[in-house]
Amino acid sequence: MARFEAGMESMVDMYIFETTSLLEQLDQILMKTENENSFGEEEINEIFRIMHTIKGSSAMMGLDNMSHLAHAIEDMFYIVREDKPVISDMRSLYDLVFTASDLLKAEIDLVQDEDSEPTDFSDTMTKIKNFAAMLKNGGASSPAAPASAPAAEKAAASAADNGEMITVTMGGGDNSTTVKVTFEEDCKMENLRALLVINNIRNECSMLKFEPEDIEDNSDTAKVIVENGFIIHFTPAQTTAEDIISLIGSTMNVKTCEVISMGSEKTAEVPAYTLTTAKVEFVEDCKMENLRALLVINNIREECDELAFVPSDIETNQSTAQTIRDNGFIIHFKSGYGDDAILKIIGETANVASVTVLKNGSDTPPAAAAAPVSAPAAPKAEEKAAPAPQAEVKPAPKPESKPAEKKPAENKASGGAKQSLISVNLYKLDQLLDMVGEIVITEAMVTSNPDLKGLRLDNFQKAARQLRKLNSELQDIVMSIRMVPISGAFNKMTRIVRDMKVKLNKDVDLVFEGEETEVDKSIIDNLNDPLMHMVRNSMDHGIEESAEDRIAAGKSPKGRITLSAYSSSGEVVIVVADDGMGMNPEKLLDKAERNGILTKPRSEYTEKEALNLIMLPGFSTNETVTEYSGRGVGMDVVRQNIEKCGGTVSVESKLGEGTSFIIKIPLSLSIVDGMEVSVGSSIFTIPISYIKESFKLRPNQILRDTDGREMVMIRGECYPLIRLYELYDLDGAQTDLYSGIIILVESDGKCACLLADELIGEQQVVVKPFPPLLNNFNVKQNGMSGCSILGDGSITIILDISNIISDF
Amino acid sequence: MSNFTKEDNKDFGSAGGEVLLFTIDDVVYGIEIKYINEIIGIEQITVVPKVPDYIKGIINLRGKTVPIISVRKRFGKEEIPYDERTCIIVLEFDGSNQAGIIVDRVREVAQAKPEEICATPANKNVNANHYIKNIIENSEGIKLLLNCEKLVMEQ
Repeated sequence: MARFEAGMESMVDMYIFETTSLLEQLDQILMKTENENSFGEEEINEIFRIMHTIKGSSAMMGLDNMSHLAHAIEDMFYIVREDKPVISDMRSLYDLVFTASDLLKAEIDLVQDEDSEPTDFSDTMTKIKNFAAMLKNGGASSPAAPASAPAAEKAAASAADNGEMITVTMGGGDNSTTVKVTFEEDCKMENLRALLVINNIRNECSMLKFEPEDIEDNSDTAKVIVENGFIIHFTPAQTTAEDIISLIGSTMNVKTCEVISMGSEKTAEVPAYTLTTAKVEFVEDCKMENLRALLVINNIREECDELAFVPSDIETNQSTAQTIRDNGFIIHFKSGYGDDAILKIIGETANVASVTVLKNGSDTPPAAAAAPVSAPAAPKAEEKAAPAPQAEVKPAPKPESKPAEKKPAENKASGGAKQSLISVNLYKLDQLLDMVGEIVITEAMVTSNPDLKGLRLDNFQKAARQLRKLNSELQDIVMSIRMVPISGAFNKMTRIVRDMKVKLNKDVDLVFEGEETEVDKSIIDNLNDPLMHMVRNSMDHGIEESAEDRIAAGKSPKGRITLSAYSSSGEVVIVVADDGMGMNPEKLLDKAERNGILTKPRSEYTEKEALNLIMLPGFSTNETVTEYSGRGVGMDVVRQNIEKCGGTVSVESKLGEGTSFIIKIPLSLSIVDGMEVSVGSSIFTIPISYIKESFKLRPNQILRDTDGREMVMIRGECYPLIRLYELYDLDGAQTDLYSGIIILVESDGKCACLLADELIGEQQVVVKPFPPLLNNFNVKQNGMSGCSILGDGSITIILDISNIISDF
Repeated sequence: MSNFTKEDNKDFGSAGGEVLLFTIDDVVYGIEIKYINEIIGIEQITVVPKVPDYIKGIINLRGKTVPIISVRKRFGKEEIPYDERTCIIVLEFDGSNQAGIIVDRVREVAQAKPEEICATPANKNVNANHYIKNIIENSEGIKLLLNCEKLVMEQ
């Protein structure tokens, strides 16, 4: 069963993206307020808005279950916002909202699956409704809104006492405006589109009533709307009625928005002038009077603050032509430019025979506006909402975009305020990155082409340098596009910690450090699961079972998990540290021995190797499987996930002091400056960032320790020597220390000397991950981080220096 | 036909299909055509250190790196020098995961009829038919249909 009608697919992506980010936002707010244990005005409004948007957009997508659930929460927060009840049971409130948020998230995942059926949320909804009812009763005793609340909310608050959510009694008929909205033909689901309109303007209106009323639940209303239009009565809260009308007009699929009756303006900025009524007659036999009347309307629309006309359905109803012929075309308008200017524009419109003023408003036009106004170049009025551009797909404006909505109508006419942010499909960015990678390879193919060898080409070299410079700038830009702060991944952990705190009854603080560190988007995506596993591990196994245990160990009763991120020499380092029990290498070895995963005699394991045992498949120290961990897959999965994006994981632990998991991921996944070295017939690339120097060895520099391990003495410092051909069992390599070249490399403050046959040259290489098959053989553990294709089509293997060094 | 089990070979066994035939030491092996991406000659293979010896290394196949497996080594046979008939058959799994296998020579694409397909002996632990999924027997002789996933993936 396809979940969406044809033509909706393009919107599904947008919807999923938007709703997911809203839900994340919701979680963050909840987490923050829960820590502070109080809801601020702003937070409540924000939650309200989020639920509101989800409700509206879900309804538009036809996902009624999600829409209703969001509605229930919205209702609940409406009560919280308006009645300000004293919430005694904060815990249940949070649990309810968290549950709902989880359900919505799960449903979003389902939505992406074509064949899934909508989940039934009625249980949760009943709970929410009951809780809301309880809140309402509990909060009835304190109905007065505090003085700090904005005026609009006060009005709404008093309205809320009627017990109605949106539809309140039509108070103060004077300043309410009535409009009739019609939708584009064949746009389908008119009731939901009408709901969208309502959602768009709800926050701007202090009073809002509409007919038909039950648009949200009753799909039959769609027919009614098609036949009679959708009638909205509203009183603007802070903005003017015009702003709201233009807001209505700019909603998707709205065809016309016609003012039936206008409220008297109370806003001070608007001068006190009233409606002028004019009757327009057209030249006889000009035919299609209705469309000519429309032309008149379009011409003056920009200049009028208020505009209504009879007959009203000129655009859609051809029979109005006859009506206009018989009775004339009546226009009610109000304009800051003065009636004369408007009448002149009307008079100058093609085919208009006469304009008669039937009723004159009190004529007090501002002097400046008396100048003749030329008809706007583009008769693109608000109501003629052109096929909604991408930006307008957003069902309800986000808070940030609100100021744009309030800008004057001129902006609207030219397509609205310019957006400086766009969302781009990650796939396209990947393609772009691949393409830049190909360009870099091709550049190398051209500039180091063997045909050029031995030629003296000054101009060519100059141009090649320029090309190289531009290419590296291009790379930087492409990489920076893909960089996102890691805080998104970190913030997800707060939720996990919160849930586990409750379940495990452990009191733990989650601390972030350096969450503004930026990493490649694809890395973030791969980080979520590993981070989650590690945080769970720390919560479950790391932190002591009870506060008493902690106090006994001389620690603060509150546990602490630190997530930190920083970048160092082309890598991002992410550390998940807890101040818990730490791991006992002996225990780990015991367990590993029992599970039969030791590969060498137990006595040969160093402490570090023992700790790293937990990364092996099938290892779990916890005797019992808990809800969160203990199945012995966790750390194994972590390692695999991290290696998938070219990174490494290591563990550090001190018994009694805590455990740290250290993830290192290359900052740029794709392009590194490398030094190519040859070893036998193989070519390896060493990232330049690791190389300190390279030199030929002199006989007095070499010394051996008692185990026969070789060391190199440089300027009074001693470094271990690693013969690459020995490390990788390669044949045909230079084995004479003094003929080969020594490369001094450094990583994490540790240095080592590598012996290679010779240096080939410096080149930018595009990192390609190893084929998945090779990852099965732990190539990463053996100091190879990836491979790369050189300009001549051959493959070079990129060495992971930090991994090689750490083994020595 | 008699000991042919439907469950094991639902796709191929019941319907038959096209099989790419190649030889190693005069034994004819087959691979279902759905796995075959292309057949290329021997290329320069970059050695990857510290992997099992049956993995000869990786090659650059139009910008993608593809691991290369020696079927001879995999079957525990001695390697022979590559000649002009030696081929790399590039296989593809799960839509994107590629691997190449080195074979002595490629013969042809043949149609295997369902009635020609037999299961391997029930004794599945015997190492000899570890990588063999089915046996195709017809007038032209016996062909061993390889289990590609096992051949490539199993460690």
